[in-house]
Amino acid sequence: VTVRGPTGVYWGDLPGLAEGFELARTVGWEPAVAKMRVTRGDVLSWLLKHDPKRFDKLGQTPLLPAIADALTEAAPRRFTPTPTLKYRGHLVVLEQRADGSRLSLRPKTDFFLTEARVVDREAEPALIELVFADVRKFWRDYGEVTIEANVPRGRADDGSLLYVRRTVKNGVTPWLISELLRKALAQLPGAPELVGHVPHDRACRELRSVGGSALEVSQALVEEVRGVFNYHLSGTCSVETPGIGIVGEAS
Amino acid sequence: VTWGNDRRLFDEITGKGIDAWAEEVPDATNLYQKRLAVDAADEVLVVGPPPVQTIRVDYLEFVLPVDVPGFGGLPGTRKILPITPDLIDQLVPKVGQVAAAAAVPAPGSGRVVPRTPTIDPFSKQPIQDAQRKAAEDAAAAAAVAASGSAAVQSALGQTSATLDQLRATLLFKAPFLGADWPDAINALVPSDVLQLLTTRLWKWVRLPAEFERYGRILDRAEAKDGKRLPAFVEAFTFRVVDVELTKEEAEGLSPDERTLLEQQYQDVVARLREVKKRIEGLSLKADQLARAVQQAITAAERTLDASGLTDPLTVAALAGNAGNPIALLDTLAKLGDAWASEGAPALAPDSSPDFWELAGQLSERWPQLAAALLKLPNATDFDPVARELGQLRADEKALEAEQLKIAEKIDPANAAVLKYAAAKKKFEASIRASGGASLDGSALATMQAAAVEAAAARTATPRITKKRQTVKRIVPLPRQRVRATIHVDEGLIELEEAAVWPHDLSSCDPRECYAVPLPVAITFGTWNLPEPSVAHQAPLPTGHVTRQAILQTSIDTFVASPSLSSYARDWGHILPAAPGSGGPLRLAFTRGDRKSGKAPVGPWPFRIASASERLQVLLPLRSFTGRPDNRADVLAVAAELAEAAMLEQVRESGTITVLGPRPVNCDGRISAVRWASDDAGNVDTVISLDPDAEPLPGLTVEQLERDPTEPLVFGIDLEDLK
Repeated sequence: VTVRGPTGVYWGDLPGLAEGFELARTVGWEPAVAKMRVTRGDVLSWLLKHDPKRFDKLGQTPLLPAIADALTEAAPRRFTPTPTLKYRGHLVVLEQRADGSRLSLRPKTDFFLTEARVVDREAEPALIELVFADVRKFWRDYGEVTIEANVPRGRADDGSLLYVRRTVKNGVTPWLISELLRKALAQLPGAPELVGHVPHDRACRELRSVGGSALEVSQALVEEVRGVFNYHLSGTCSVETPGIGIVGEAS
Repeated sequence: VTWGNDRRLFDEITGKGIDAWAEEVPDATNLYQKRLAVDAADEVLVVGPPPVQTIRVDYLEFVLPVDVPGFGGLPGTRKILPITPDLIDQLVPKVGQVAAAAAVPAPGSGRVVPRTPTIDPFSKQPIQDAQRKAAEDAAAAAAVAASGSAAVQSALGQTSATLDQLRATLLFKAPFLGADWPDAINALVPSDVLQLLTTRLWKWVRLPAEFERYGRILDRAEAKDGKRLPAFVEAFTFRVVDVELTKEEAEGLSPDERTLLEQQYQDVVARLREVKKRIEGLSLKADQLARAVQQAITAAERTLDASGLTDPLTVAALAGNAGNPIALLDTLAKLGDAWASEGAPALAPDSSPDFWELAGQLSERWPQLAAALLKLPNATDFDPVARELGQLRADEKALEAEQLKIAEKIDPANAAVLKYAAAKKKFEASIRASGGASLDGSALATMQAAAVEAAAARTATPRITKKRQTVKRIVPLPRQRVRATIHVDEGLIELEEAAVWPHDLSSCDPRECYAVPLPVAITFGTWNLPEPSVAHQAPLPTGHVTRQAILQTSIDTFVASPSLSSYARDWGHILPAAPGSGGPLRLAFTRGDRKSGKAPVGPWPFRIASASERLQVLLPLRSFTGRPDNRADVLAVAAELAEAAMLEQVRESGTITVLGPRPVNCDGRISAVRWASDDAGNVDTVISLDPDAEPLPGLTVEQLERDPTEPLVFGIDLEDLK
């Protein structure tokens, strides 16, 4: 077993403890969830630096639950595209190895503060556990798609479908599923870029959406090709063929 | 398929790290393992779609779909009316009305006259006794089957219609063919009904009620290039074709006609001979009489000159009958009779000189006298000899004309000779009349022309003419495949042409004919599913093949007629032995019996249900291909599936732990990645590999939540707002 060195965990510029850290990501549409423990001192200084008003309300020596409540209250419940919020940031996991090399995990996506709770009141130093989620937590409520695509208007003599011109690409070519998916994903918070798709892409069947949920449209389009949606660490996304993939590290 | 990222790999099969992960995957914590599937089945039941069997149903039921428009924005409905004599009764006028209307010839469409009931409308031969009996039976049964024979009979306008009449009525009541019905009929039928009849009657059929259990009309079991062939419909139709005839015939007579005319000719010649003989005798008699009378007159004139008698009335008065015309006529009649019966020799000069004197005068004058008394315009009317002679000469003239007429037909050369003889006779008569003093120019010219004609006729050969003419003929087609549209949802079949023959195949115009509906058959694929709720149907009457009276009548006629029975050779249903035997395919396998498909299994075998075409049993109509069905192939496919289900399958499933925080993305194999601290505060990477079980070979797992045929609609559906 390689002798490993100290491990550092950060959420933006807020340092956390290596112990008790956890980050889980799955395929699909559910957000990745991270848990990180911070000391009271770190959190207070972070609050003073970034949100003095909130600290002012708390007083000079706030109790742990008050800090946790204040953080939970401050957790963003709405998505704003511009990074003005203080309560979003990148997660970074660093590990110093004995040979001097460093391993790191640096997801390029924002993690949003979701919840703060007191881990153990008696413990010293006093710890607060912060819970983060990635941008997928906003996808259910944000993102709207209005489009009419591949609306058929009968069949040609050779049996091929004819489409209403305004509903196909350049008035000629029916939209592919991946193209429509790209449009829908662009409406989601974070606008993930689609960088991979199943090989059996094809023209989509008729799709009509007026103010429809971008998430629902995206889910339906992924379902059309029986694919698996995959949100990458890099903030891009792909549609995978179930059962096909390579176990290994992303560069 | 990988995108973008350069990945460092780990061989999860061997459990060994590759490249960057070498030696960093802790052996003890490598949770990746091969897990035995727990669902290896001991008993497998493969359930497939029900077998598709090709069947043929004959004598389809003629129906009339009537579209009823909706009211107040409601959608219209379609009523399906079975065609019965009653329905025809309602839609077209009653027989009496039609007959009355048909009696008036309609311009341009010919006259419609019902056929004599005792003539077979197809063969045009009188119906033989046996056939007639069969037809009577059929018609009687048909009348019973029809909804109320009384209605049919009352339509005839009589209560005791004979069966032949009834049968003729059924044929007659079948409406006419063609779009333009006779005007007299048009006036009696409302235009919308007429439109309905001309476009839909005898063109729509459906399965009879007793075959409705066969349900939807599917493609047949027979396949070509891997595709099942569509159902087809067979029906009788007809064509009206233009036939160009070249008619080559001698101008002349048929042997029968010639024989008849020759007999007439001989008869005329004999009569003419007789008449001429009588004329000759009578002329002789008249000449003798005239001579005798002339002598008497000569003698009498001398007497009269002496006595001064000149006035016939005075002469008559001398006979003692003065002032009494009736008595005088009586005397004259007796005198005439005496002349006629006894002739001139009987009036011998040894009789009374007075009488002879009188007779002499009267012979010269009495016709005028009698005519004056009776106010007759023609004096010869009272001269029996002259009258008879005139009559005979008229007869002679008529007979000669008749002889010439017949001769022109049977022997033009002889006719020319006769004509010449007549002309010659006329010319000679004219010479005689003039006493040889002058020639009648026109008579001479006629005679010369007749002579030339006679000479030409003698050398002429029989003339032959060629005629080219185009005639229309009705060609009845035997039963064969016809174009038809199958309305699967409604269970209706729409033929492009009416499945009828015209009742009079010798007619040139189908519009002058009545439509005789003939049986229609359909050959199609069916699941033959068991149907628990089959409506009870009374069995058909003996000798019947359909409940439709009109159709049964024409079928009986067809079968009974010797000239048409060959058309009925391929009629009839081809049906599975056991109705409703076609449940879904069920083939059972166990570890002990992996091939037969009939292994005994418990109540809960592992079930594989698939609608795959590879599991579709196809039972073709043997008579078409003679090929065995595909049950052996299906059994092989099912055995393969069962074999796969009985395998102890290995699923690759588990986790890999890699030391250190590693940037690992999810993908099609990695369902989740978790980074977590261990007790020492080191963050390790746990990779979850938990793919779904592979579907069974040959099967696709359909788990679509959305209907794949419907559009994808999200948000506000504008279709709802319209």
